[in-house]
Amino acid sequence: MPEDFFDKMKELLLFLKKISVVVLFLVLEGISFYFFFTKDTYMLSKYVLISKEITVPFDRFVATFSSYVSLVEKNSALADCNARLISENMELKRLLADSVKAESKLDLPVVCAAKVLKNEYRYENNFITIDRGELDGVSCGMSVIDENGVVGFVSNTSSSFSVVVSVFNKDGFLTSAKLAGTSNTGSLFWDGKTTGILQLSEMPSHIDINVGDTVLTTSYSNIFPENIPVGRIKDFKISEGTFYSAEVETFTDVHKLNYVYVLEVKNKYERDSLESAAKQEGGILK
Amino acid sequence: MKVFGYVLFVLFVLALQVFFLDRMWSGIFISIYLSIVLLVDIKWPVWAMLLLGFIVGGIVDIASTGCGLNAAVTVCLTFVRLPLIKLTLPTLVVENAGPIFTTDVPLKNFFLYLSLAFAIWSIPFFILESGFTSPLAVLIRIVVNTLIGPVIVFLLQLFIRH
Repeated sequence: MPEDFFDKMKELLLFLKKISVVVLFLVLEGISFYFFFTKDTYMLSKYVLISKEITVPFDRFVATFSSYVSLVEKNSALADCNARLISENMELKRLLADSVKAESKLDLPVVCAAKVLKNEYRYENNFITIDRGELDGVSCGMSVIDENGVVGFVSNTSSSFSVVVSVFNKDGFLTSAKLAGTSNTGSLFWDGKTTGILQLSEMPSHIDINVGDTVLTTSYSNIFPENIPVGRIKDFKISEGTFYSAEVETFTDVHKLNYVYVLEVKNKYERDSLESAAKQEGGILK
Repeated sequence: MKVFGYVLFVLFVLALQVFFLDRMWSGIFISIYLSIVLLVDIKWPVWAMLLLGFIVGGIVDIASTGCGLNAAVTVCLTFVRLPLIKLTLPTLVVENAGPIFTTDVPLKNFFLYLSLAFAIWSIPFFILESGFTSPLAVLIRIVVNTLIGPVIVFLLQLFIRH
């Protein structure tokens, strides 16, 4: 080999070494710009896929954390929404009560709808306070029901409030009741033991009674209109030989009492007067 | 130990870039990952810097579906880094060689170096990214990145130099 060849090779290597950085720069730029300018969909989809693989777990963590942090805010918004719905519901119930009053399917003489302000159910003699009084047409002796059935009757009134004797009042509540589809009546009262369970006594033993039978009010009462639902027979037994004694599970859940309706009994005053006059006279024709 | 610390720094900055800064503002891109190549020891050879720029830019491209633009512009920046250092930093600092921290570099030179580097990176990046449309938006993005980027890198080097 001529010495001249080695010199030229040496020069070439030196030159290549000198421009190696530039070559590397051009190669790397070439690769980068190739990807940037071609942007073919296959390569892009691969890019997105790899990108998501890296970032999705973090995004999920951030989303979970953000939703947890915003729970207080969401809770507050839900509470506001709830308050608005309750207000709307109250208004609708009042409108419904007016509508019931105007054209009730049961022909119930609804005086007004009332909100329950105080509701006792832990004592032997329980009372309920409602936000309607004499100014709203409420008077003593009127019956009180909710959408499920009997609640009690009005015992005291002021101009804006009334006190209701609950059906779960041991000494204050006693009325007559019957089984749906029959005309035999018994006495309905509370024994002061279990809230939600009334006692139906003095039902003649010859009638057919079953667990689950519906108990209704009767026309004998001068407080409750006839056929207002009371509850269902939960259990029964024969007592005193010729009578049934039954436990009645009330339809009204006294623990969840919110709104009630005050009912008027037609011609109550006239009936009360007549009955008391008859008692005073002892039934003797003069 | 130095290598381990540097690798940790790279991972931290990349995570910060990909998981936080890329998502914080829509339309604004603060490329703090440039600190990985800008703060590196002056004595690193240019070929190593080119490869580092390519890899780091490539990772950001993959994470943000940038299709090679980050890699291309960052390689470009690493290529001009050494002349830029010689232009902006005092001769004594360049001769001593070492990582570019404010402990060794006067603050004024440090910010001059970073601002020019971010401008060199931002101009081609945002122009190419926008596809030569909406010049005002491009201008705003260049200015924001050039102003905010150096500040964040300054804070980062305060945090990591120890």
